[in-house]
Amino acid sequence: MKFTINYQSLFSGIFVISIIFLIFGSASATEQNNDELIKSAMNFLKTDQIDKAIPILEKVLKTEPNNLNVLKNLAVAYTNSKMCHDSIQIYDKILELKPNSPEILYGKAICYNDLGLPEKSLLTLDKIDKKYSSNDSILLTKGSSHMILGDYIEAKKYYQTVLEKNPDNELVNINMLILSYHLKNHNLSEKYLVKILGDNPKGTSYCDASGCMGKVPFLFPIEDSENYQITAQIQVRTESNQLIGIIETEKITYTPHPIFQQILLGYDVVETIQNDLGTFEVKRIIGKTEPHINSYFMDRVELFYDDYTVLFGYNLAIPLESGDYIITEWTIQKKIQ
Amino acid sequence: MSITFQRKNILTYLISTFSLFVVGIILLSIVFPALIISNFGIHSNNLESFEVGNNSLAILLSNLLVLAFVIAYYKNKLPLQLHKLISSIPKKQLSKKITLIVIFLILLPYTILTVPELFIDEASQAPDYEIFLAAKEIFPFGKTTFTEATEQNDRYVRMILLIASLEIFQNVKIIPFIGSIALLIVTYFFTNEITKNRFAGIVSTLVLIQSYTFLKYDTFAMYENFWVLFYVLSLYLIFKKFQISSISYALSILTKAFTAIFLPLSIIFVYYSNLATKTKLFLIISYGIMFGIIITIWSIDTSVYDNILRFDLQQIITALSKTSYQIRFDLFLLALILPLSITLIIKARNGLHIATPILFLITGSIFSGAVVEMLSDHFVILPYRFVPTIVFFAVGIGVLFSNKMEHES
Repeated sequence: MKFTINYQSLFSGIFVISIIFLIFGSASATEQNNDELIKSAMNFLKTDQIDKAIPILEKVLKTEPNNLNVLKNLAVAYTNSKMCHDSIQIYDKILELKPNSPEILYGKAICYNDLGLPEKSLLTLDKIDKKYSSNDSILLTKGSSHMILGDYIEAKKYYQTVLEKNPDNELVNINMLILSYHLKNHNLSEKYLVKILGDNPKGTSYCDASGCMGKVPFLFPIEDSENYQITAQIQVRTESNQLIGIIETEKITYTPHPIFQQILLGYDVVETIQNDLGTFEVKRIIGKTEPHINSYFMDRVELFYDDYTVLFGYNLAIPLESGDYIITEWTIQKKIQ
Repeated sequence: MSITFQRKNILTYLISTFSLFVVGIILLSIVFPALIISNFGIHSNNLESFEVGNNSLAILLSNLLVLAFVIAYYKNKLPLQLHKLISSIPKKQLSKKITLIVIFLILLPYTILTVPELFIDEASQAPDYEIFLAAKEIFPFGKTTFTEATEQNDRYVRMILLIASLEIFQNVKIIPFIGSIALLIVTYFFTNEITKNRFAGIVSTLVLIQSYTFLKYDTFAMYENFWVLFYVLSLYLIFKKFQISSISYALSILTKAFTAIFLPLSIIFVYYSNLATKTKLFLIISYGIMFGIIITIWSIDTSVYDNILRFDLQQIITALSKTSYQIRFDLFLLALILPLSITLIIKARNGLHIATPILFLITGSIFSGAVVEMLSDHFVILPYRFVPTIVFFAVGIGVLFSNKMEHES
């Protein structure tokens, strides 16, 4: 019996020690494992592989839900992946742990703007300690909130405050350019285009409807211009030169950059006209092209200079088949008086 | 002759004249593509107005030949046996079982052959996908400086369905494709309902499924067919469950605002239907209420639509001219649009009342696009917006096989 009791005590002792060892050992292993995971997530973030970093950071959070470093990085990763709904949840959690943190409130405000909730963004920014109120990033975000709200004058005030301190702030210059688009002020657009792109812009491989200058909007609606009136007429023909149709468009964007005036110098004036709006010299640019056959329909015509677009006509919508070609005639009226 | 009958006669006359005008402009622009643009366009030019268009001869000839055939049929100038054969077609009634098998045999190869399109990346196919993604970020009520994204978000039902397709299937094309299949099925039921002939329903389904425009956009998420589906469904529901017809119409508008302009088409359709006057009144009032609700929603949500209105009457004629190029690959429609219109007019004059609203649906849906171009320079008519026209054209072909008695009045 005595032997049995001793044996039982010994067994219980070994069992308890094993459990303790297992618990602490596994905790230590988890910690070590998490450190490695965090390290690899950071490496992914550094190399812009956000989609790989996110699941790792999420995994770490399961065992370390209050790890501020992980929470912050995950929130930023969500923001950069256009997952602002998730970011805001993380930001709120961080704010519970670290109330009124200016960087977190700032990140949350950025997200609200991304989600189209500028009022909430402004309210969040107002919670940031007043000593940071003249910070460039905060002023820029406030400007952006006002721009989304359509309050362009207020937005301009914030951007100009930043530019007074830092005239070469690229992001603010781009925002001023976007603002000029909404203000329909192409003189302002020209000023900022030159400031950002210089006198001889170079195209990038990234193009969208606003042009081929990366994130810099390059093309602006001709209908907002005080100096130009442009129309385009497009003849669509078959391979055997038979007429399919003729379409016209006034929906044209152009670049207010001075390069456009230089390009026009290469074309002759075909006539001068006078109307209620002033005196205009008329130039015509005619080009024959074989448009790219896409999977939907031909919806645009473009006039290229170097490797980027300087005139862009849209709202066309004609289905094409292989071999069809187009003759585009741009009529450009430039105000001279 | 009752006053209602006289009113209907006058209206039929007006709709017939209007339809021949619309069809005439389209055919004229096929024969002379430059004629209208050179006279009504915005661009000063040296175009040759009477340059003959590609395909003009074939399309004109086919229209005239079929038309001559139709006239010969109605004037009893066809050989007797042929006349008898044609006359007997509408009387053929298929059993439910055979109809089900035929529909299955139509849809199965269509589905199998179309499924590979679902794996094409929408982003690489349609630049508008970027706009959808931007809109999705702020859906439903977020604000943005990006007008196109705001416009997408005003189309709540479409956004919900596309987002659902993405979230459920991780593929934005699947629910739009299901919508296209549903459109084929609803087209069958609608035609069957108004003709009381399953064979007619099958014919209209076949006419729709052969359409270049339908097949081109049936899996495009950005050019989905939900709006057409809900609109055609609203017409079908007029007969089956009139109480909810206006809901389907509202869903159509909230999928694509374009169908708001189809309201006169729906009202004419209700007016010509054989429903009781009280039911017709209920339908028209319910459409009015739905319309009011949608306008209220748009104004509360500071909709983009009220910022892009204009009035340019000249656009009507140039837009109609443009239609002929936009449906240039729908040769079956182009080859038959004139004879079909005239046949529907003859059928209507012979007392088949449903022929008039169907004709109005065909030509009215074309004209609606021109009205949109007249009212806005922001929206233009794109080829996929002719899917309703093709559906109604298919139904119109089906109406030729109607089992309903002419002289039903």
